[in-house]
Amino acid sequence: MTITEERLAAALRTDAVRFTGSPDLTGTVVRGRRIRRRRVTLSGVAAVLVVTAIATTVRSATTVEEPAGSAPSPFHEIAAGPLGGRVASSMVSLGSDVFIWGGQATPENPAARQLPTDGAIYSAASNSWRRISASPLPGRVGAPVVVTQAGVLVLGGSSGRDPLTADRVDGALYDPVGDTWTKIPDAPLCVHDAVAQGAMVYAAGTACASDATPAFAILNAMTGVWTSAPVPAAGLEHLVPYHGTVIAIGGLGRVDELSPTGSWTQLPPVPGAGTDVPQQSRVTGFVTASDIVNVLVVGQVDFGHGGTIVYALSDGRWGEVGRFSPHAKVASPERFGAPAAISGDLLVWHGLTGLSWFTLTTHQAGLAPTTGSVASAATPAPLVPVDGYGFLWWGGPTGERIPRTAEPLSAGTLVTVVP
Amino acid sequence: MTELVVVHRAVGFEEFFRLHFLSLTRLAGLLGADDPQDVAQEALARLHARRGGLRDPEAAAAYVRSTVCNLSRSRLRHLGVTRRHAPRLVPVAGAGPEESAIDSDESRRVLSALAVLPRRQREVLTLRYWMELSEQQIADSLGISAGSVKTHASRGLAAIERQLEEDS
Repeated sequence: MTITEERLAAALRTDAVRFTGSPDLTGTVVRGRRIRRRRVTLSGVAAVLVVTAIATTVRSATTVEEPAGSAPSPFHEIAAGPLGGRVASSMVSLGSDVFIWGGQATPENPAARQLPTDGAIYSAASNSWRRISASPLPGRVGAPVVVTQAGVLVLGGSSGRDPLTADRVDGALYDPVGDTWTKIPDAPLCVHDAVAQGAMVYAAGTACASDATPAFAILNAMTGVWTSAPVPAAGLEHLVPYHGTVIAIGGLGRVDELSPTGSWTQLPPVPGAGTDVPQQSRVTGFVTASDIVNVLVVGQVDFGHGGTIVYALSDGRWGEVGRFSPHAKVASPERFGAPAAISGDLLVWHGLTGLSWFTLTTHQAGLAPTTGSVASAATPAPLVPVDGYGFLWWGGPTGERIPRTAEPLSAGTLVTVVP
Repeated sequence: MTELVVVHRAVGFEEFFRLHFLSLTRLAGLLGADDPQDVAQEALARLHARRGGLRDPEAAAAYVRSTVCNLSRSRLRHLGVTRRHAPRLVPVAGAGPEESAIDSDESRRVLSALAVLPRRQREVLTLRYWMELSEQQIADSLGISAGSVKTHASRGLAAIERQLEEDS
């Protein structure tokens, strides 16, 4: 041992003495039984879903995962559905149901590309599917879909010539109760992203004549009236609901808030973003939670940290919510579409080796490895929150890259993380 | 310290508990948990809740150590979020009676240098020089490679050495 090592060991021995405790074996056993009982209860809740607790994988915001195999898998294969395999379909949560429509069926072969126009709704409560009526829209890839006061709105997206470029302006409202579709007036832009607040739909995209020119417009879904609005200086890489309106966050972290009058006001930039080389400081994943925090931003690489940092915007100020290890580095949105999602106070995102999760209220965190699970086959699929049941992965290619390498999946996985 | 490593083969939960409770409490305390006793109890409760948790006592010891490390970080994170600053691992002079055990400037300076290290280095050094674990045992406890353990340890020690030189 060197002198420093000896001094350190001595100091630690000295310091450790001040920590004492009263061993409470009975209390510990009771606590352990409670943990086990909770797991057993959860595992018996759903007739179709095996809800499992992974309480033993609790870890902190900066943690690396606990020993592998310490908890049952949170991934559960759902019933087979009526839809063929596809990627980049339009998926949105309807509470405990999930709406799925469109997408691309043959990602690996552009010449034989098929854009199905059918859709279905998956019900987690009954682990069953129901087809929806035929849509008036032609097939498309990656079309935004939002839930409005007027119904489920599918609009924009790509005709498939270039799956990454939105070139469509048309859209339609779907009524889940009546199982009917209604076309809406064409948008004044090619829509690649949209968020809804009540009846209002905020759409971001490009001027169709020149796909490089950003454009922004607002739709009243109840009246079908579109209003063009200025493009925020921050850019339109991400639109997020915020205080009844939206904020726009650019890839380098600039933030603008849309005022009721239709103008944009600058907010503080995302901390750390844009300060490093672009590839390491770009802002990618977003989720929202109005009852806990207004906006969460998940950094793609880490803003130079080595893992992932999650920030929350509240009352115009950014605060760091948690830092996570490189194992939890959020995956590329190019591969995953929606790399992060939130349900209740549970934030989840695709990491490099599995699904990372974090509870906003108790600050517990963990990583559920996908390797060897039913989820591993469908890893590059978006996460859709399902009230009371977790998150749904459905579709996606079987290979590692979108959209070229493999056949699309028609299978789905329900992810139930119970901290 | 080393009692966590040497576990009797036929150990039952009660024996395991009595053997490890204090050292786990101290580990949590050294890692900065705000309630070390609760962290130790939670780790042991989780072990109790696992089916076959004691089948391999070595693995059980690694599991509870790992859980204590993770929970201690969690508590630190929680404090960090709620108080907007991380709690000090090293008490300031006269801050409380329980801290009188740190009775020398020497210890205080070493612990101060340890406290400002990155979290992972601090954990590695604590497990190495207080629990006297091997590199592989530390790697198992923290879920990292033995090579990373070596790197964190050498960087941490170098940083402490530098800090102590600057202080003197």
